[in-house]
Amino acid sequence: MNDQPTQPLKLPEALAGFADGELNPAARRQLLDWLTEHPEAFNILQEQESLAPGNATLWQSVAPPMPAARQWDATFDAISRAALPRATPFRFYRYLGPVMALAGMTAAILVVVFLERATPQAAVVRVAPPALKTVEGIDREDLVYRVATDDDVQLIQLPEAAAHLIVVGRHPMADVPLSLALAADVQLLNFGPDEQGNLPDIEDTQGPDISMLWAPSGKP
Amino acid sequence: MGVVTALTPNPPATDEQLIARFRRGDRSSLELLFHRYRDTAYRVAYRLLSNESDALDAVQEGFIKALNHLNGFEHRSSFKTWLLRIVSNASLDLGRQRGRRVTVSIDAIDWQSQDAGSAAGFDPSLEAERADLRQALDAALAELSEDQRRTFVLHVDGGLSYREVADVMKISIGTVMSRLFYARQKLKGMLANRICV
Repeated sequence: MNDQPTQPLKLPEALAGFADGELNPAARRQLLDWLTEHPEAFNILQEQESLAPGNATLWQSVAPPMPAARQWDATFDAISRAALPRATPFRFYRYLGPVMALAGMTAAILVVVFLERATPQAAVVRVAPPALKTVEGIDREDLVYRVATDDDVQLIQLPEAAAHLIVVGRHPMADVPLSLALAADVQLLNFGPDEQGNLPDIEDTQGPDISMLWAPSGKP
Repeated sequence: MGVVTALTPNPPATDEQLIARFRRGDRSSLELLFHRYRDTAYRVAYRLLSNESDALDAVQEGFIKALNHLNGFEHRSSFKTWLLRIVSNASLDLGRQRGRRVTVSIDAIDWQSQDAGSAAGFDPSLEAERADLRQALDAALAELSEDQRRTFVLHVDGGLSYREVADVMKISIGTVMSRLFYARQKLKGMLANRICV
């Protein structure tokens, strides 16, 4: 159906619309009134109806020869190959930009880290956790200092100014624990110059928290 | 008291649903869409080309174009209308390119011998009769202008309404009606007594 009835019916062309059932009720009434006044037009209407889709007998008779199943299959295969959305193949160039940007950022970070490490800083001594051995036979209340061996320490960076603070060398007593005496445990009776005639610098030997290395020389 | 449960089958998927699935790469939806419209598309193409092989090519090309240009399909019309517009265009293009369209003159058909055969009691097979009538119709259609032929075929073989044909051809409904009226007048004149009134 269409909305032509609001306009003047174009005749005799409207006979086609009548034959095809495309006129709305108002237009149909108008056409039927016209046919009453023009009975000779009935023949034209019949001709139109004979070639309208409603003439099933005719159109079945002249139906085109249909393709065989294999022809339909081949046609469908061709259509699906050409039209079916496919997974987009990997195209490296599509990712080149982001990859380059990421590589650039990574390189910039590495340069900053390298420069930061290359800059001289205060003494930094990285001390690996010492592989300490259990010290037995010592009262738990005693203060125990654990001494790392040279194998336990790796000097990463050391300004020259701090070099004299580092005691280098092997622990002379090997695995024997060292006991540190407090200032109160030691009484200095006398001291004198060494073989070269130098006297040691003794500073604040009376402080309560000053520790002294005890050397088992047999003369405490 | 027994309970009777009516099992209602699932309604068939709409064209829009099938198209949406197809766009996600679903081959079975494409197959359903193809089965739904292949016969109609083929009838339209055949009637415009009068050649089975060319018609099948036009259907294939039409489907591919329609599916590859779904972005241009604005859903203002149905998929069928969209498809038949493309198939009919492809058919006319193919006909021009290949120049194979049947140009059998309506006068070249041996009406007299057919009539004589019938009079002599010759009883041709039904298929032969149909083939003959089809050939006559093809020849008569070839005499129409391209616009008239396309309008007629889209309505009769494509099953499109006047409004749909108007949408496809971008003409008014009045023009559709006028073209159909005069196309039938010509066909009727050419087919004479081949078609019963």
